[in-house]
Amino acid sequence: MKALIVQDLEKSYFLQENKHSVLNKLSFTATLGEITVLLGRSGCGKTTLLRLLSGLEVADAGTISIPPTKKVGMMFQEARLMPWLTCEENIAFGLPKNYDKKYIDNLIKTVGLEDFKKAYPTQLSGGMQQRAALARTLAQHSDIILMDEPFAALDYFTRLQMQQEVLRIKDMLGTGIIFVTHNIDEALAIGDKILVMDKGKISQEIYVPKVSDRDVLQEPFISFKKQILQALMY
Amino acid sequence: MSDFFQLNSKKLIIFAVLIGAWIIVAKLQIWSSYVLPAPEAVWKSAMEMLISGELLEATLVSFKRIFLGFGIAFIFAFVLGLIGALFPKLRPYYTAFVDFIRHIPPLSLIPLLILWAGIGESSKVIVITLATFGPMLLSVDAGLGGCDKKLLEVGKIVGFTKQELFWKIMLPSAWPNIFVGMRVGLGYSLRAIIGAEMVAASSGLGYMILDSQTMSRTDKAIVGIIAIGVLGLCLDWALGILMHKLFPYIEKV
Ligand SMILES: Nc1ncnc2c1ncn2[C@@H]1O[C@H](COP(=O)(O)OP(=O)(O)OP(=O)(O)O)[C@@H](O)[C@H]1O
Ligand SMILES: [Mg+2]
Repeated sequence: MKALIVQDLEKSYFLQENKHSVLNKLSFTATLGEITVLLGRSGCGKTTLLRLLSGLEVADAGTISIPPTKKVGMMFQEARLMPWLTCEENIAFGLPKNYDKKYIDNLIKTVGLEDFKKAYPTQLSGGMQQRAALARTLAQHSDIILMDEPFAALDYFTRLQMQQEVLRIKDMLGTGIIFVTHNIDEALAIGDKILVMDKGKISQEIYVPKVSDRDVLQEPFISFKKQILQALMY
Repeated sequence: MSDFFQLNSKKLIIFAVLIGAWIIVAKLQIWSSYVLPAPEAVWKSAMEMLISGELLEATLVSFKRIFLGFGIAFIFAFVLGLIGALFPKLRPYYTAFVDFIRHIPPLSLIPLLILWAGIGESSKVIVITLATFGPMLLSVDAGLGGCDKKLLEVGKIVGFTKQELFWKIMLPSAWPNIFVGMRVGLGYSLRAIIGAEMVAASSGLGYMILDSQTMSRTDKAIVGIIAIGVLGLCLDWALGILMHKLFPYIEKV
């Protein structure tokens, strides 16, 4: 089932009265239960696109259709934890008072913060803050999750672990995930569909075959990597 | 615990040095004991005033006025700050007036206040309220208006209503600033009360100091000055403890 359909999206910003086009008739679709990766160079408009999808900003033209019953969640490029709340309170942020404590406790364990429940954000490392933000996003039970370079602050191993966690949650709950990254290996490791963004458009679409055990160092991933590199190298 | 609460020896050095210098200068008798009484003399009258209850009474009278004036000012500043944050459209209607009031030295109002409110308690309380309200409103405004937009976006994503955004993000993020405003406001309160008591009062620390001057009791005046400083320190300290109890995260920010 389609999670969202984006058609001819346009967005520009004005910088000192100069119109600066960021998205230029951009179209794509994303499916529930799949990870759609948006890959592109810094400044190509990935965050802008997510902000439009989440409704934080309004497009100049084009349409975004999301099934009205579907709840959209977002994990920002920065952790954005509330400084006055403990780690645990941050993760349960915005939940109703009678929220499922067990579920939250499990989430805290999976992101490895069980010893830091009572810590305030300033007492957490950058990577820990990012993990808390991931747990907060997952706690929301969204049908569609927009993730903006969620693991950029994590070390290689924690990053792999968190990628597995996202895959597990997606399989378990059938969440549709739009995942922004500029790490090609990460895109190949978790994406069902990889969209390469360039000059305000989707310039390449790569469908990754469903294999149970992905080896990014084998074919067809090597060819995919070459294809992406060629598209973005100039 | 923040440095603010630790009464460590480093903080006491400056007092020891000042008192030491005072003892030496007094011993050298450069100035007459009327101009600069010896520390022993000041200590002696402080003890007398404590035993007679005069010092405590004056301090309590001043404290009561500060408590009332400061409290009223805080409520006004807080409510107006809330209104400004919740209904930004209303702000232009009062900001200019508040700025106007804020720049009037409160002591200049005393002649009018005596005329209108008499020389009773209310004129002093009004002076304190007026002196404290402006600076405190600035901090409340800065706190509520300066809320990080990125945090508000988190609230929008989890589906908060306008009310929830306010209570769960704007207000908590404003507390540290409001707290600073209260401490600044407290300083203004103390300054205003002493001034008011010196012009129009028959009780309180300000009156006590002025009265000592007319009686040529410089030692008593010094006791009064020290009492004001100690009162201010204690109030600031109490405020700090209260805020740390209510908002444990502030020291961690
Ligand atoms: N609020 C804004 N006002 C003006 N220009 C903006 C604004 N937000 C984004 N831009 C511009 O839009 C372009 C895309 O920015 P965006 O943040 O979407 O990039 P990105 O792909 O997320 O980059 P990165 O990978 O570095 O995070 C940039 O050129 C940026 O200058
Ligand atoms: Mg970005």
